[in-house]
Amino acid sequence: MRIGTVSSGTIRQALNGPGLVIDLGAMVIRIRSTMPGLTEPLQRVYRHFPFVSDPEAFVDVDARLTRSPGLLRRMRPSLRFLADGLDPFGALPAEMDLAQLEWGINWCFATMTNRHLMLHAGTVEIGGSGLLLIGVPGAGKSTLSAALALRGARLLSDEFGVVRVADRALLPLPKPVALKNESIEVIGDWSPDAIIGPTYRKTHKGDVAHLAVPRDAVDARRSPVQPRAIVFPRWEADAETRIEPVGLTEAFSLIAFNSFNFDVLGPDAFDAVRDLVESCRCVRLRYSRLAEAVPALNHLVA
Amino acid sequence: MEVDRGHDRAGVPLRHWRLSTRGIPLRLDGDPRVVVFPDGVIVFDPVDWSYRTLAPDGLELLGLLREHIVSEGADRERLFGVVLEAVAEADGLRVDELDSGARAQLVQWVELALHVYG
Repeated sequence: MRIGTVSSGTIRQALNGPGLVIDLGAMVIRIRSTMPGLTEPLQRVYRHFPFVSDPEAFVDVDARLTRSPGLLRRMRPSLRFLADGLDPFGALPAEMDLAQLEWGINWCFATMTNRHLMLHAGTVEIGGSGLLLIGVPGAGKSTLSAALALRGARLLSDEFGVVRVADRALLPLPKPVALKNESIEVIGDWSPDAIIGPTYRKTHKGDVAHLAVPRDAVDARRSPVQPRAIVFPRWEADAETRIEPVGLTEAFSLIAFNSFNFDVLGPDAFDAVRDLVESCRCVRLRYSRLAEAVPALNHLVA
Repeated sequence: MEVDRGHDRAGVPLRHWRLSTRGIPLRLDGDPRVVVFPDGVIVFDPVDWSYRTLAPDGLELLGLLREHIVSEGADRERLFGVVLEAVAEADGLRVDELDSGARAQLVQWVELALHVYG
């Protein structure tokens, strides 16, 4: 049974009780929530994941989304995201339940997963080759990851390049793709069949909506892939699509800079980044149109 | 005499030497991680677990030292003489005009080259 095929009452019961256990490949998370508005959007964007609600299941993180207690709750409803009992964010707007949950889970990945090198990167698999899209927020990682995934690539993650230190393989961590602002409409137009959750307006990152994880990405979430290309994308209005090589020293610096835990893994991270640079094609991509950028990226790893 | 040169993050005493990269002292132990790319050199700092990118002229210096190590072997004194001459010539100076600071830096470049290519 998959999350999308069970009744919403069953999902709500799981969230209110023993929790919904979601195996995201590189991490397993248990989600519990008393927020009534979370059930439907969560069921929509996690629809292809197996439905598991086992209180004994081993998980890496126990996440809870709860209403804030006290007087404030009546005056201005808010929620709290708790990870293994920690409250990293304090009171959050209650109406943004799924968006807050997703940011909270990202925080867990970024701070709690130190057995792997964690890069701020979109990652996909194209024809057996791993492709990393590395860049600062706004560079187009999520949009390109979503666009590629909706044209036959396998989504590994729109946010995390999880590099296994032992063999430099890319581990999938397929979560709903966080689309922001204009990207929501762009991806909706790119693939009218795309399943997108509700749009949360005026968040600290602007408008945000989540693309459901495609079924093939869910089914292959335990299948790592060797990285073959590293792309540093940059969206520029009206830019012609251009791919140009990046010097290896610059590539090393950009990868290390976009790592969440370089200074935690130290020498292991240094060696892993060096190997990535030496084994992958490293390029810069400037683009404005997905219809040009996506074939160019497919060609890059072909 | 044993000199205390500090410890790395794991508490292991360092046999470090210092290399100034754009004015930032970089402390390395006797077995630093170094990666030499065609367009630059990156060195891992075992003290704060950061990395440093060395200036392009350092790459030229490493290239020169590599040439000599490959063709003539890893003789510290001779390699030091080679870089002294090269740097003096590049700066339009006589070898004896290079000050102690510059000489100390060049000693570290020789050590780095020996580590990478020796």
